[in-house]
Amino acid sequence: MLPPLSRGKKVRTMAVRRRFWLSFAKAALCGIAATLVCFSSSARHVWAEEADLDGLEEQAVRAAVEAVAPCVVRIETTGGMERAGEVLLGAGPTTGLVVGADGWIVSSAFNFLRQPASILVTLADGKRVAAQIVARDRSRMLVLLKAAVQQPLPVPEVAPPGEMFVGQWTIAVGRSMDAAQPNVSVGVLSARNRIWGKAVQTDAKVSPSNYGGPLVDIRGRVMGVLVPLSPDAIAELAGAEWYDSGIGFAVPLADILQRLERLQSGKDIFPGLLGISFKDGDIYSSLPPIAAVSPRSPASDAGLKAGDQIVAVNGKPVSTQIQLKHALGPLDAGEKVQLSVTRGTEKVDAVATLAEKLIPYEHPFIGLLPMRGGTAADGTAVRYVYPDSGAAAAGLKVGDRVLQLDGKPMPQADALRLTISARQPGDTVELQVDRSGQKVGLKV
Amino acid sequence: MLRTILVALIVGLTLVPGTVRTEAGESYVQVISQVQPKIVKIFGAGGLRGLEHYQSGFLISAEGHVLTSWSYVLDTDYISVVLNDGRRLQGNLVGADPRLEIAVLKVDAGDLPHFAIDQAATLRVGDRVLAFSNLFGVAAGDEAASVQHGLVAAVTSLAARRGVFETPYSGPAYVLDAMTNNPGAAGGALTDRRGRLAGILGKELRNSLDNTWLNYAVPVRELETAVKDIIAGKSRPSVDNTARKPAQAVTLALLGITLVPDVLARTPPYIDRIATGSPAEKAGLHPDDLVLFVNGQIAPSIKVLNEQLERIDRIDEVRLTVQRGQDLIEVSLFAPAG
Repeated sequence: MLPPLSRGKKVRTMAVRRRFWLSFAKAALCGIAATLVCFSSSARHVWAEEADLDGLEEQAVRAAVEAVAPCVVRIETTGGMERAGEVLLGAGPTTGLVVGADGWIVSSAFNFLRQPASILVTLADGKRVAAQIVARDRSRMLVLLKAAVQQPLPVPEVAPPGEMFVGQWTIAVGRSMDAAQPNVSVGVLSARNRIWGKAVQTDAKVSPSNYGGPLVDIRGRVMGVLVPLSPDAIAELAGAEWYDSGIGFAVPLADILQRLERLQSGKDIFPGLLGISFKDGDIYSSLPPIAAVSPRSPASDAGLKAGDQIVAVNGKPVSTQIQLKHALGPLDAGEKVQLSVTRGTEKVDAVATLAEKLIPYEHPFIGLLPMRGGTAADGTAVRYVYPDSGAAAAGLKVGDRVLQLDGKPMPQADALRLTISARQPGDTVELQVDRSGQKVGLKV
Repeated sequence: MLRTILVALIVGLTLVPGTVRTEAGESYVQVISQVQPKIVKIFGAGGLRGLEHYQSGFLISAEGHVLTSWSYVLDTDYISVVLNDGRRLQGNLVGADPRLEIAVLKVDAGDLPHFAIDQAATLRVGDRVLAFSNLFGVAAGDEAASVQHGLVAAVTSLAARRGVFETPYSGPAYVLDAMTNNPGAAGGALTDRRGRLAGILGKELRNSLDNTWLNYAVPVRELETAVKDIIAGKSRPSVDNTARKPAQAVTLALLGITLVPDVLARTPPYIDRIATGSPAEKAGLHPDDLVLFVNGQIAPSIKVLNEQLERIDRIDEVRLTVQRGQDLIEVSLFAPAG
């Protein structure tokens, strides 16, 4: 499934952990020790006990894993493909996290790349049940499974997003190596708001051995679900090449729970698209005016126009393309976004409903060919009319001279071509043509 | 945050046994300085075509016995063992157990600091560990070996399923949350955070279940008897019982099961037909049932299922777990006698 890593890459990872936390912990230890000394007749002995910081860390990590372990399940699959494109897929057990007591389990889409014939879930108590994929979050690369459980499942405690701090302990938990005992990797929270606002980052080792499992804090509360993600692409395999590298991602559980109801109803979630583009430029330093608005896109429906300067998204000011990408990144298709733009001196607020896909531009086709080398400034002579075209249906004939379109004079073929290309397929235009001296009006 | 830490610490405090004597911060420094003199760097064959000519080892007797990994590096007339103090000595191969992938060397020296192999620590998931090895061959001469820090990520069997890992060793292993397994690290020492020997670092190994590199160590407890036998000059039985297949294995035909044609690389084992009067029919199996487990082991494809049956004697019970709709049904089958 993954290309062999170079050896250099493997060693890169020895995590720089402890740093931030240690300073806190040491201060805390001194405090505790000082308190206990007052009550103890053997101060030196107490100090020796408390000072075994590594032992305490070990205990705390173990307690955190035990707290979340009942919610971490093992997933096995049968059948399915051997490869995804060129990439050989793994066949081993993977991990999932319970998010609803009646059998709702989230996991990483990576774990189902093989499109298996059957999905088996082994619960923390060893019981095996069948499961099915109910829906996918194609923005965060998650799947929601429903397992056929008889008993309610334990649901994990959520780490509130406001209580996540860069530098705090993070523990990545999987159940792929051993069914009875979760596999564990420890690190710190490296960053928040990664992958365009969709994930937190950790230096704990994240790999197929824990994709789909939880990233928990030192209290065993779930911060997020581990998935391979890439800032450059949205695909199941994107980011998997960073396994065990010290760069791992987790989708915050709070974000997943917010979308759980939609997923439970069997509806997939897609990244929300707006339909604007910019001229090439430094995406980190500036936000140029909109270069183009895709026809029939959420942006055009909201009334945005080429040349508009976006100044704020959902009330938050943006001044670079990167900031705009961050603001739009976590939004799903179907979500509304408020865009504040300046158009000339005017300030305009527009609300766009983001779309799952953009309708590709189709050339409007009227069905006529202009006379070659026509230089006359009094309309476009028709050289050929395509059968079954709009022009043919409207009764346009070879030799006609198109004078006006929707009341606007069309002195030359170029003007006609440009005007038509700006219209949508299916639109109706009114042509005025000169047929052997007579002026005829046609609806095409 | 601070409150979180305090809570965790107070919880932790109540659980820590009172035997700890080390002082925070200094503990690792002391532990490592005690362990380093027991680590050796080994140089031998290799050096061509990307094969490293070095690996790691550690002293297990005062008279100079060195435990290391069995590999091509030792396949030479002159094995050079460099002690922590820089002494370069010739290592003589005392013996090896290729099944456990270990070898014992002997250097001619006395009064050496060493690990007591019969007092190895047993580790649990979450235990802090230190790994000592000459990974990438960065240590030369009297430079000490490299130290890495991490924890036990999992305790698992390397051969939980056949063919999972390309190693003859099939016992339990410590999977490590640290990048320990790199060129030259094989044969290095894994200790607990107090410096007690716990494992020997394995070779570079890819986990064929998910194609990731595996960082692991073999528990010394699993090797103790073998090491003692090698030192004592006793030969070890070389039969691997786990690989033995029965003379007459059970087949699907004997059970009365016909699966769908095996046309894909991973055809799911759906039952196509059930023979009338067969054990499968009596057990209530149906066409379209999907076989999931054979004697508790997952059968992800028809190919794997047939391999699993090859290891079951036809006189033994075959437990099948099948999926019918969303139900899992377990049945027990015996092939007809004769």
